[in-house]
Amino acid sequence: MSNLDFSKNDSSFSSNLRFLSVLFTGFFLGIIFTKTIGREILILFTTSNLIPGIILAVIFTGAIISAIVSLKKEESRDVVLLYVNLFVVGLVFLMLPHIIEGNDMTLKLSNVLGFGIAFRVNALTLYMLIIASLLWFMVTLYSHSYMNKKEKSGGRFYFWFMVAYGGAMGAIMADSLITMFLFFEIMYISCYFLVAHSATPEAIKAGYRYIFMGVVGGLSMLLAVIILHVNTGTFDLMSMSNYIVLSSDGTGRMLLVALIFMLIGFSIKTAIFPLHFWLPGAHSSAPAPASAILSGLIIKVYVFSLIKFLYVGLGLEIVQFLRLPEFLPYLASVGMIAGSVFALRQKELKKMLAYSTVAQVGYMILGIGLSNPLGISATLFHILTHMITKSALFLCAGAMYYHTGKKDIGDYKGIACKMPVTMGIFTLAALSMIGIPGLVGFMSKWYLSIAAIDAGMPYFVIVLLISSFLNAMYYLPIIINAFLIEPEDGQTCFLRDPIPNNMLFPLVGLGIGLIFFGIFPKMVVSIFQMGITFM
Amino acid sequence: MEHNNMNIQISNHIDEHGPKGNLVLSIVIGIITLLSLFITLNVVSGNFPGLGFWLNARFGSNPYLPIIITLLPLTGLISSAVGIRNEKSRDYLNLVTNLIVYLLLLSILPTVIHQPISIRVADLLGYGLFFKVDLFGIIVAVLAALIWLLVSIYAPDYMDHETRRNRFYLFLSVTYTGILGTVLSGDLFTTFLFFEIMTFSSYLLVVHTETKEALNAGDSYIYMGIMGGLSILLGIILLFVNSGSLEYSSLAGVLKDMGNQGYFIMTLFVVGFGVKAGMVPLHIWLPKAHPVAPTPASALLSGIMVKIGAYGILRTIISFTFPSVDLSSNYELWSVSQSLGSVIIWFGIGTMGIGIFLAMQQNNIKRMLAYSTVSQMGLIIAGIGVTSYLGLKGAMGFSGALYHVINHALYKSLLFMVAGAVYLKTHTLDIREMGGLWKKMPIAFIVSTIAVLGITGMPFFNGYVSKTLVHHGIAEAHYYGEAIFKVADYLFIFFSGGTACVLFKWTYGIFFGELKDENKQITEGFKALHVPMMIIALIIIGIGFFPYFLLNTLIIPTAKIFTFDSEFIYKYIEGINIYIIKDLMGIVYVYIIGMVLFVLGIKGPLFNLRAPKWLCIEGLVTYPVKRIAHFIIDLYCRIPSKRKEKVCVAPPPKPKYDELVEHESIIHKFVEFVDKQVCKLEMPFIKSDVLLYSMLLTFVLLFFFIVK
Repeated sequence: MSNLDFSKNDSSFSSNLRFLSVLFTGFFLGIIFTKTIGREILILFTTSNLIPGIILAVIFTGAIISAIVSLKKEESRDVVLLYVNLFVVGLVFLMLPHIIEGNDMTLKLSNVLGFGIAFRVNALTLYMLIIASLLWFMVTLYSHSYMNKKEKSGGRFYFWFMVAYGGAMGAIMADSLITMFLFFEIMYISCYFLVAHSATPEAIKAGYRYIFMGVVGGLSMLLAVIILHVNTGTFDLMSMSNYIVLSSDGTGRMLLVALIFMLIGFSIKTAIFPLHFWLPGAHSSAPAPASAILSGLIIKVYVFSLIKFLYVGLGLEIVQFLRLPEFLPYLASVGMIAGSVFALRQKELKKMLAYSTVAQVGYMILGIGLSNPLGISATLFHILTHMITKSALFLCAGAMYYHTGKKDIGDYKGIACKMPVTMGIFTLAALSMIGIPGLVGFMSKWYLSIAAIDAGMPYFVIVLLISSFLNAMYYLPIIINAFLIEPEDGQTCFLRDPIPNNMLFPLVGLGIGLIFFGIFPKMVVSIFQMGITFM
Repeated sequence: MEHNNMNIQISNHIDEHGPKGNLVLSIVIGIITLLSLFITLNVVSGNFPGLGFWLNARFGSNPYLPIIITLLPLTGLISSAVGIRNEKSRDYLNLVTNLIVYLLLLSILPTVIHQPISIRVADLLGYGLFFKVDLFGIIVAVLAALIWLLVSIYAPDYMDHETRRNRFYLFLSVTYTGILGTVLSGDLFTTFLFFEIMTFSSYLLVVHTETKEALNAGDSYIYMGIMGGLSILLGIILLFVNSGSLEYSSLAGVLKDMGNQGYFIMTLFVVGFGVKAGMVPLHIWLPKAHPVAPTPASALLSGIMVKIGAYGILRTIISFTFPSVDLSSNYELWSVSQSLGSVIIWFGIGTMGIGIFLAMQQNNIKRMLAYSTVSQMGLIIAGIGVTSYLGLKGAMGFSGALYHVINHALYKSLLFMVAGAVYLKTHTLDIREMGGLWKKMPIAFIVSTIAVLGITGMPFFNGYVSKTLVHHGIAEAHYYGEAIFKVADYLFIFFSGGTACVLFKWTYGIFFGELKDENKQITEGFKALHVPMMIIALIIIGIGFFPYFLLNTLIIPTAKIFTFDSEFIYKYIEGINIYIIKDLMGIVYVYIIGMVLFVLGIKGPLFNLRAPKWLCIEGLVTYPVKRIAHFIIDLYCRIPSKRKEKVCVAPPPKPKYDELVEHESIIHKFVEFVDKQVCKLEMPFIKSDVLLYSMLLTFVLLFFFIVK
């Protein structure tokens, strides 16, 4: 087996990995068992409002350091990145005790960039930060072997990978419109480099679509931000709704125009149905770790920001004035069905997964469009669901590509025999997409359905179920193909996948997450109940 | 390299033979099974009060027992892991696990008959799980455990020639968990959870052989199963939002207030569970899936799993649409149940007829049995319909349906076992290549005859009792209700005659007639696989000779926990005499019709009727879809004929009739159609999106400047 990557020059990575796992465990045990003196020190540190700033500083510095180190030695770069990621995870978890008591953390840097940037961390933001940092850590762990074997110029990849991380974290924490916009753009530009990384004609083409649509969306947003600022005099999300009065005079019309531009920008970036066409190409032509990040997290940052903009910035009254509840769910349901239908006979596995993302974004938009607390809570839960499920699927697809070097579904005949764990996780994730009770996907369908009926629109439940059935129609053949059709070349089977451990651990972690949150969804939902009260 | 060593290469397709069953152990376990069943039933009916008291104190006070019992079969994970190294130990482990589950279920039976055992596990899966073992659930659970235990004695001898045995046993045990969870649960949510587990794990049993035929059958099975599951889920969500509760308690008032939505919800449940029960027209997966599975799995699928569908229908109807006891005199509240029941009866009768007519045409013995299962499920569904239709007076239909669930599970699994035993010797499933085997395989012949007498309804065998009860139920339906059910009554007799005809064909084709040359070498011997067959045959005769025992100890107490008129039960069911001349004459008619049909089949064309291809359901649905799809594709592809490179494919040749129906399922056709459309429409979509957006942007900008 030539594809086992722990060769001699790789030993530093694996020994570091062992050290890292010990550190990781020790860290969490420390958090749990620090009771007395340590607790005092922790509280002193955790109540400091600087942590959001520190997180961003660490990430961006990490990006630069990784680029420098990468010039010398590629192995050390991956180790450095792992430590940086772990450190960020630690920082995020440090905020937990303070936030969970119901406090907010705010950081305003009023002199930066002329107009000042502001961050705020509350329970919901922290929830997003936690899933983002954990996913990034797992994907970084995974990408080491994948990038080594399958892609070139890792230095460039990892630099933009970390910059995108910083952009995502910043956009999650942003408290003012301009901050949000700034970090959106950072995220967007850096993601372009991830999309077009492999520089195949296909990737370049997808990258063009991605960047052009992104620029259009970004400019729409910028225009909106400027108009809003001129007419209200503030960038602040929390106080914005006080200034927005949609009357029929000049200012009112200007504000309306601004909001329309903002929504157009958001609907491009969240790939709401008719504007989704850039997504499948972009998400499928990126390297597998980047696909997992793009589909698993980046798209959700926009969804989360949309929630923030609509329900914190504007408030329910304006949302209803704009008649969003009257057309957003319909667009979403068209997206849910159309995305699944397009996915039905994609030949390439990753492309199918990307089309499935279009459908899944529809679920989240549906939850937002229902515009009741249950709907928002369902959307937030689906963010977690889709993060776990889709990144597991993409990472499994990456692992199969890593082992076989083939991309088409037809080439994966009988692959479960060779990669039982990978295909097992894939099956779990696919069943979760279909909505089998006991897995996390079922719970988000359940919450969404309850929300839809609560909003007085029970027909969306039927759309949800049709979409589930379509999911079954395109996921099950892959599984059947992998488990039950005889492979063409030989019939040797393994008990353990022929991929390195550092690719296997994230997969197993996500698989455990699929089951865990499927059985104990209340743990997450209670956070939303804490966070959504502000609306 | 060290990691290479970790990749222990195992061959997935070992062709070497597995371990055979152990005859002595099988006999011992068989005796334990029979004895414990006998003792428990005696305890339930009031004998051995000391033992009853002990069981109650020891097991009845433990509320965790339902969960333990449900999860116990998951030890199959361990035993299958053991099986990689040592297959014999795996078989023993499975046997012991199944025996323990069976004994545990029997031990809580005396407690459950007095009060249900319930336990709630809050917060799991958001809604929380709720187990509640009542008499209805545990009867089906004990039945399932009994058949499962017997099949696990039978399985090693049969699985000997199959491959991938570890996977088979693993998913067999997961399916077992699903079935136990479904019947032991106390609310619809928990039922649904385990029902879905059952659907998905039994898929692996259907496609076990991995042949093309099996995979096709598996496709039909899994897609229909998912559709059924989703329809149940929709029902659950609607019911939950409207009533706030999913527990099995009366919601008649809520359902009635919901108006049409109430009917819609109940229809969703009937359809969802009806897929599993093989209700026409949702039966099409059943005759495909049951024959291709390995015989032990067929016996369980046909014996137990279809009953879970019937259980689901009966349970949802009887708990949700029936009003509670104190409101039972309010006639208005029965309206949902009554109108639902009048439809279900006809579906049941239709299922009986179509199933038995198609069963006559089959030459594959396992498929013949599968169609016969469809027909028998029709009988059970008709019983359920009577229960629902008559409501307060429906206890007769209920008792008949429940009794028939028990009886059918017994003789159908026995018949499948016989089919497996015959297959092991003759290596064929085609009835035309068999014949004259009665001398060569005497044990199989005897137990098969007992099962045939049971299923055709011979007095002093078990089928007679339950058929008579259901027949009484239908008679009551036209006595108390509409006169039109008189027709159902006649059809019932006629289709029962059809069942007799099919089983005559079975017996005649396999055991009588001319002995083929290639079968002359067969010797049967006495092996472990004969033990469970003989046990079931014994139980069939036992029930036949003491028909009132089971009725009085288990079935009537079950009827009493639901909203049935207790006076009616006392008057008509307790102390019923089924050996009266009218009922016996009914059976005589059945046999006469059976003989006539059989002669028509042997001498005439009845067994060789082939319905035209378009008449099968897939043809009816698929062919028009395919034609329309081709029409549309033609339309698309011909008009822009100048731009050849844009056209996805040349217009496909007109498909031949047989190809359409035979080779592709409806799913594939739909996918193909969609694929073509996507291929055509993707680029235009994208272009139009860009156009749309730029137009929008221009418009907004114009607006912006004009306003400014």
